[in-house]
Amino acid sequence: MQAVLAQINAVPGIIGSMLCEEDGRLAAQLFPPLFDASMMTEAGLALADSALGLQSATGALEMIDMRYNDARIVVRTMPQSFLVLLCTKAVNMQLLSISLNVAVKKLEKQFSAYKMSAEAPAVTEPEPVGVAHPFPAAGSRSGGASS
Amino acid sequence: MNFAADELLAENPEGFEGAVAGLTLPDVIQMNALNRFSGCITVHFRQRTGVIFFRDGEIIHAEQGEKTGETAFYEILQWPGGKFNLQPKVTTTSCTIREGWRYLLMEACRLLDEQRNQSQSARQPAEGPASGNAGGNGMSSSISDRLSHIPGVAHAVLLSKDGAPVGDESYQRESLAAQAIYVAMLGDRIGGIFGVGEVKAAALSGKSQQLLVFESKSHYLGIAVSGESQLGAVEAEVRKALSPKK
Repeated sequence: MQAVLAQINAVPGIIGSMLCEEDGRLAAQLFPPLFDASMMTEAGLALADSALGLQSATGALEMIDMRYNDARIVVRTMPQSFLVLLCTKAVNMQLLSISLNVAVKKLEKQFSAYKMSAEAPAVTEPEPVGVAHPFPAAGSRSGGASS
Repeated sequence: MNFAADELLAENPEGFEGAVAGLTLPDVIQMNALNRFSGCITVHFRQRTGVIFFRDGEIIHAEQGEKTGETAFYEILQWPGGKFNLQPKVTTTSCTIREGWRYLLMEACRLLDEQRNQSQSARQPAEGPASGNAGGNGMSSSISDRLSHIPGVAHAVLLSKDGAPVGDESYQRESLAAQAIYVAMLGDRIGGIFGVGEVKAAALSGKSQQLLVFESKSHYLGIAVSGESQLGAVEAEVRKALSPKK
């Protein structure tokens, strides 16, 4: 997912991007080092808290575009996740919109794979059990406990 | 008001008293600012009293009724007349205003112009289709009138910063006001996290309904836009309708 976020960040005016799950957990992020992960977790939680209210206001929420004095924050909804972009004020929204249409499709696939791997029960390889061969092959230096 | 202006006057007889007729309050403020005045101006208009405090020519605090800070200052400056008392050396520990006096005066003039425009258009008979909010007060219904002719705009509501709709409190408008304040609060929260400040405008696209929220000094404007409309185009029309006519 990092690679797709990097492609999104390549759009002029994008400062950083992050993908968070519907419950607010951070799935991936690509922000300059100045922005620490706790900020993104907090932003994810803020979105998760408000998601239900926004859904009811709009039927099915697709995008939020919030404008500030010197910045713009764009939130694009995806199945079970939110893509959050921090942009400069001068970002070209048309270009961003086209780029997002492509990027979101890739992210959706990768995110569902990520979710499946996260939800799958952890399969642990059984510990190899040392079998004590009563008669180890001649020349063999492994394969069992020596008595 | 937590500052008794009359007591202040009685305790500090120094200064002069006058009427604002002929000389506008902005003129008095400008003179005091340029003279690096420290003290307070008490303004009386009908039953209302407002106080503006200066320190070295900068406005540091204002009170009017329950209001303080810039809100109180702008309200005092919107009074059409009144009497004022100038009291030098009267000071306060409150410092609720951080903007410079030039900015404050310009903003007060802008608000005054806005109010005049709105009351003028409210007086004019509505030429377009009925906006469905005839019960609203001047400012709110005037804005709704201006926006109602824009294709895609379902309805609009002007709300105070605490989310209460201004004017008509129909269910539809209360609901839209609640949605608008919800979006504004989310915008402020996320803006705070990323350090970009308070949200100035927001656009929400959805399948069945879309929403536009605009922030002004003391209000939010919430606009419900139908789901099938192009939100960007509607927003451009709204901005055009709201921009002052030259």
